[in-house]
Amino acid sequence: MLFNSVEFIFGFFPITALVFFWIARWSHPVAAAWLALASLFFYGWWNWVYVPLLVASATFNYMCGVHLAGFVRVRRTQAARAMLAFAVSANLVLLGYYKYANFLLGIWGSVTGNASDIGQIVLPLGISFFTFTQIAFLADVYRGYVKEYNPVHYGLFVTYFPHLIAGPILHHKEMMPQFQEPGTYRLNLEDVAVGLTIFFIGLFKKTVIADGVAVYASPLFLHPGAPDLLTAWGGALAYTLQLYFDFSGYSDMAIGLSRVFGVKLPLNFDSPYKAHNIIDFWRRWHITLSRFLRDYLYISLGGNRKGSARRYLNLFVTMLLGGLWHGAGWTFVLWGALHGVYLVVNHGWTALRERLGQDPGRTTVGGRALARLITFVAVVVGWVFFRATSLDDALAILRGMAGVNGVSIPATLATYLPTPVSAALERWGVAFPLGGASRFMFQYLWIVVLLPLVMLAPNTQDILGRFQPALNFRDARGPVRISWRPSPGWAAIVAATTVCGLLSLTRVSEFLYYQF
Amino acid sequence: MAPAALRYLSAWAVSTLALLSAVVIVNLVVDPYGLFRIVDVPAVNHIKSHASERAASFKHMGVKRIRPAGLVLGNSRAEIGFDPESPSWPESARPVFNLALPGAGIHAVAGDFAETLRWASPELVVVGLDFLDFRVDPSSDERFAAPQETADPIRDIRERASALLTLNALADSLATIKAQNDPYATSLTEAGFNPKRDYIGVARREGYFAMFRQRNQENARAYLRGPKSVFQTGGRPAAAFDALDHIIALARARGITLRFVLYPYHAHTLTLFELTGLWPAYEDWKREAVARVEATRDTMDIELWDFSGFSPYTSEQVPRPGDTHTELKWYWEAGHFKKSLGDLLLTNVFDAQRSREPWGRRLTARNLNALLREQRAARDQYRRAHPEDVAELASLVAAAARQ
Repeated sequence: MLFNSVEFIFGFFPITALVFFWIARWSHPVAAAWLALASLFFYGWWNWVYVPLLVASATFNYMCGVHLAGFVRVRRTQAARAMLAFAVSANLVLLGYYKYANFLLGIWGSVTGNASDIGQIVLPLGISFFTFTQIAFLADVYRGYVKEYNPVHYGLFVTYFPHLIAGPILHHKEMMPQFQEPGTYRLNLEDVAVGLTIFFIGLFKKTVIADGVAVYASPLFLHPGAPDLLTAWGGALAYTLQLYFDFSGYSDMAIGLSRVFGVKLPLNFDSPYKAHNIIDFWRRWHITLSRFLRDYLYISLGGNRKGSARRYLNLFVTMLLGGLWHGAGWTFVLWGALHGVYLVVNHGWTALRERLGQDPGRTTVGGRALARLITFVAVVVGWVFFRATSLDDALAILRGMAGVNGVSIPATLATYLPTPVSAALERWGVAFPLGGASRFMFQYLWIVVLLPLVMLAPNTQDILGRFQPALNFRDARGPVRISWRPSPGWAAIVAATTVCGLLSLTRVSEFLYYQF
Repeated sequence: MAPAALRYLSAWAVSTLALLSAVVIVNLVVDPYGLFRIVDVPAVNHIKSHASERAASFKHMGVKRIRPAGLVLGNSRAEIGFDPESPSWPESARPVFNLALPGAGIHAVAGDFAETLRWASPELVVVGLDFLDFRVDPSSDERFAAPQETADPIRDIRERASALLTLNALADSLATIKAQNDPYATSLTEAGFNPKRDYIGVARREGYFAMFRQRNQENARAYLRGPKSVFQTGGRPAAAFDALDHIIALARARGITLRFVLYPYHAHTLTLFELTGLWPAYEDWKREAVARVEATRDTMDIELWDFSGFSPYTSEQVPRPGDTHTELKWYWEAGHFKKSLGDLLLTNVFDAQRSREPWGRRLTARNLNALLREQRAARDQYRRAHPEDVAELASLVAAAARQ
């Protein structure tokens, strides 16, 4: 079931919440069980066939976790290590089968010349997310961080519908205490007000903005051809904005829904296009994935404990695998590798400045603006690989962005330019093809309106900052000029946002991150 | 904060409901797609500038309302070219409704016809036939599936709900109000005709040359890449011909007079057929269409009219680049003819004896081959008489081939 669907907003969610709080009046465990069951229904709405898979995955990992905790408690280190390796391997095999089997067989076929595949495998929705969530749980058990093993709470932790399909990727330790907290089971109108506000801001981001700008991104990536400079940048920027509003809209909706139940989810987005370097970008984009990759992959590989060369290699490998996590395809691998290189360059640059006696934290306003611009362009180039369906397509688009195919302005728009200007443009080699004027104009209109928003405006969490909208929310960023409070004025603004979001539900589209 | 939160939630809920109600009222009153017809105010909603966004709904509602005796079916060429208000229509066919829809292939036309017969009992139906709809991959094996004639009340309810409760509908309502004073606003008439007023503005700003060139560029690409046959596996005619048979069967079963019209392609389009290797298939199409019509000629009132060859009308000269003053009489661009040519065409179909400008031929098995020979000769004559046009079109085909 999609958050941005009529059946979810007017059916599933209100019924689930009302029944939950009604049951919670006489039994918290039953209420938690109800929420877990409702979450399975939410998952099964897409395809019931995979519900047993989700249940089996949760049961298996819970059992492994309990056994692993026993070994850890009695300090049977070897047994604990073997148990952890077995459980993590089982998770990776499951993920590998559904997500990477045909990709790996394709590689094997191209190496050996024996092409083979095992037929089309439908990727179970959210498998990357619930697998990673549970691997983190197992690792935390091994490290002795896990204190609570209530099976109902564990089931709810894994299946909890606000995060089940596309994250955020949760830590066991940040969720279980909240499921134990008696306050979670009492209807709190402040949580409802904050939660619904965040949810409907997210709905607006998704249905009005992301779906609205998507039509200006898709054609370029479907049929790149040999795009000229403005066509290539227009499509790449439209996708850059679509992806941000789609995923941050989804994350807002997840955080808002959970908040209605009084459960805070971790922050997943923090205005990533305001980043002034690529390290900063990964602290702001899909924060819970960055956190997972850092805690369970980068650090496991040795992190920065084995010298700077090894550190850079670890960074690169982590990002490469992070790219592969998004999908079984070479374009995702290249996207991950590209960000690995970006991070290595970023860390190398910082180290160089420190070696030269400079303070990397100090910079001029111009320097900061330049850093933001370079970071943004680097991210956009990365998204081209991320979105393109083949390496050839990605390179064709990048050639266009580099101006290799010249510059074109639709002839109709050129008729509105003063004659000396259009003549000068023609002398400089600008082409004036027929057709496409309206599309070109609206594409750049969206971009011109949205870019300042993502680069300068406060985000949902900033606006709701006074009400601790999410876990690990950094509220020490100083006062925000636009700050939500439960006033009639804000009720009117959020109502307008809600109406726009609801009125755009007819063009229901899946979230981009549902495919990962 | 509980009381404040309660007040906030109440204010939010009331505001949301109020805003939703306001949107419904605006969309209901302005009615940008003509689905409700509550008020018709010249300064507010008389010109349905966005009706073409939901042309199918607009037109099916129109058929239900008007219950026409004459009906036009086809694609955008028919929608733009055949005006139901034209004096060329016979009295017995009035009122006429133009149910042609942009992009509608012959399968969709058959579906629209079947749907219409649930609401109306036309006596006369004019169907525009487009050669391009009949092209098929020679290796394909498509079968025609007769369109379902079952009513779908859920679809109607959804259509109406989305015309009231969507952001797009609200944007179209506001744009409709704004368009009332725009002389070049697009619109559909009550009878489903598209006067293409927006093309008037484009022609005055950019000139006809640009409009022809853009259409020719698109056509060159499409013709070059598309299939070049009207026969599929085993020499079986394209499934589109079965759709044609279905239209004939529907009309015969109800005693409806049927007039098939081969659209008057502009000479540029015909030249592109030749330059992209489509000409043999184009002739095959005519042969097969004639065979289908001839097979039922003795059992019903049916005729097939050909306006698709080179003629003084279809060879209308395109103005020079940069000329924004010259007005064309017959064509908007190579893909679409004007109402003036549509009127002339209809006059020749319905009252050829009285036509002051005889044009077009009724195609039969007897005159087909002679006509095809005449058209080949006319094509060669056009090439000799218009070398610049042909060279320009050849350069577009070469450019399309390079892409």
